[in-house]
Amino acid sequence: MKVKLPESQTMGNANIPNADEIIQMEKALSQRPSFSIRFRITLAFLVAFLFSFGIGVSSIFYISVMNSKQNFFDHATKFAFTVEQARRHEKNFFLYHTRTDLFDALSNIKSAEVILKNAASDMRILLKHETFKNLTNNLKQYQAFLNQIAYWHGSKDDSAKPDESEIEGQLRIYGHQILTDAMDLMDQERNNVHKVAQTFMLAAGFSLIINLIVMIWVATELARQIVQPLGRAVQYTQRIAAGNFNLVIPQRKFRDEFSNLAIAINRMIFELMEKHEQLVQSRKMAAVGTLTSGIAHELNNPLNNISITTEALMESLDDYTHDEIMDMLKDIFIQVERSSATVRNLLDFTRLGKSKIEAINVNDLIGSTLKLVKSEHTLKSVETKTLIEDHLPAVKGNFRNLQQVLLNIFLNGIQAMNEGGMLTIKADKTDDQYVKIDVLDQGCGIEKKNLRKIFDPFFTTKGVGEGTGLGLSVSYGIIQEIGGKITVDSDEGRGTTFSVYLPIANDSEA
Amino acid sequence: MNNEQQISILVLDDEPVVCKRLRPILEKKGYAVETFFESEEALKRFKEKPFHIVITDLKMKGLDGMQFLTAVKELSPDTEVIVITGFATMETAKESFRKGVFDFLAKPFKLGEISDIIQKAEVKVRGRIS
Ligand SMILES: Nc1ncnc2c1ncn2[C@@H]1O[C@H](COP(=O)(O)OP(=O)(O)OP(=O)(O)O)[C@@H](O)[C@H]1O
Ligand SMILES: [Mg+2]
Repeated sequence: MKVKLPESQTMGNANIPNADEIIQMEKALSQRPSFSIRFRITLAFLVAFLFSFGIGVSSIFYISVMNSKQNFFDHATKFAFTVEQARRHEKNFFLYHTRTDLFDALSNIKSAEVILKNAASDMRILLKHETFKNLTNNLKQYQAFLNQIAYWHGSKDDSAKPDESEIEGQLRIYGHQILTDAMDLMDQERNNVHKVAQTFMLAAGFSLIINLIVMIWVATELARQIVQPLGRAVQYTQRIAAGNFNLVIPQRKFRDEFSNLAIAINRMIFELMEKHEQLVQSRKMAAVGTLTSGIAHELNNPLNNISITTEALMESLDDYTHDEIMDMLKDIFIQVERSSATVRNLLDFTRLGKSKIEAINVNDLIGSTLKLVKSEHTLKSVETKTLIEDHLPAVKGNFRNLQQVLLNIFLNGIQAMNEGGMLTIKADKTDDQYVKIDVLDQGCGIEKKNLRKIFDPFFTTKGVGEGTGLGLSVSYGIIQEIGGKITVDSDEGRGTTFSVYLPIANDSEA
Repeated sequence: MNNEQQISILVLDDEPVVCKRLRPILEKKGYAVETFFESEEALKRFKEKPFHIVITDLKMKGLDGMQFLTAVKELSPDTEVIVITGFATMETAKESFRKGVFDFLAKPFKLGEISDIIQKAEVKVRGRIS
């Protein structure tokens, strides 16, 4: 099955996964053909084993060949030696004419014959048929001559006695022939054994090298196949930690143990999403908590205005002219409107619900958020100034979530300006991609060593009960989710600028 | 009674409605009333002419109520200050009393309540004058 992969895994696509997508991705991940790591390791070891097995078998073969060569060589040596013995006795006989020498020569030749016969099966494989035949014939001839001499030597009848010197000559020729043949055989066999030993050594060295290469390949390939998905898993966790909750999508055509990991990660992402949503919500409540005094002020003032105006009217309605009464009623009306706007704004902000992505007017966003903090900054004698570029395009995001981001940043700015000051809010279009909202304060600034940490959850320099340290981390998450970014620039002791980049909504979404 | 010195009251609240309502009511009761929306102007006026009684909101733009009443008490310790506020924590209440505030009134208040307090303050002021 084929799964369509998005071009790039940017955080830009603000697709917050839902349960359906999770199930779909789980299917995609698990429906690929299985090619498990366990199977791959077994396969690799099998290949390695077969290779070693081959080397072993060929060694056995070579050794047996060498062994038979060696046997043959032994036979040849023995044969040559025995023939040599026979020839020595033969010479002695012709020198001293002792009969024992003759018999010794004969017995030696017989043993040589036996050796040849015994070794026949071995030799016949290795020798040319002709060579073997020649050797046997020569031996037979030699023996025949010897026997002849032995026969005539004993008898007194000299008449039929053949010419001894002629036989001696014949014996010499055959004896010499046999010996040279035997010597040749020996040399040949020695060379053969040498050659076989050399090829064996060469083959052994060669297969060692090949074995090494195969092993290295198997090891690196296995390591790669395990390390690569592990690396990807690490990337996923980093991406998730950075607030990008895109699901893990299949990267390979087959399924293995890491697919289960991917499925588990996807489930975790889903859980995290829900937790994140809850965190965003609870942060809102916390923000409202910090606004309590402001909200109370914001509601008690109009209530008071209504209360004293109605009381004045009730006490002495007749003392007032018609116009005055009209004016007072109008006051009441306006004050009711004012308090209900405050309540509405607050309810809007804290309302529960899925964060739907919509096209947002930046002016509305900034205006409504400023209203939420209005009492907070008047209390701290902080003034606000807004510089919003005309005709800004709509941005993409969830209104209440973005309100929360701005609220957190505004509150941080206000809280940083204990002595009062100016909170400036600028909005302009940086390029075709983003609308940038700058929030500048003239507060205490952020220490260099803390700059890296301010987006961490629970990092706060504020006292217990004053700051939870979640404001910026939650804001960061919200902005990441929609594919925007937050940057900060701070001058210790002089002020801080937070810049929020919001992705511009496409026309289709607007 | 009539030949007694008129009691002057300064009302400072950035809510215009409060000023608008209190002024005629207090004037009817025979006080000399001046109202201000901004603390700086109120302070400027106070420096020109100290009032017997000051009614001030706490939470305001610029110079806030607490700073204003501190300045007032420094300029004229005999002036009785009545604080009205939209939201008060224990700390702000304590701080105000430490600074010698006569009374502390939370919004929304009844006209009767503020009249009572002003009357009590008047008694105290008159006791001091005579
Ligand atoms: N505008 C700013 N000026 C100076 N310091 C700031 C500013 N904004 C953030 N900080 C620093 O960053 C820290 C973290 O801010 P964050 O909003 O995450 O938490 P918090 O404000 O401490 O608590 P919370 O927002 O949960 O009430 C703050 O404690 C503060 O030290
Ligand atoms: Mg904060």
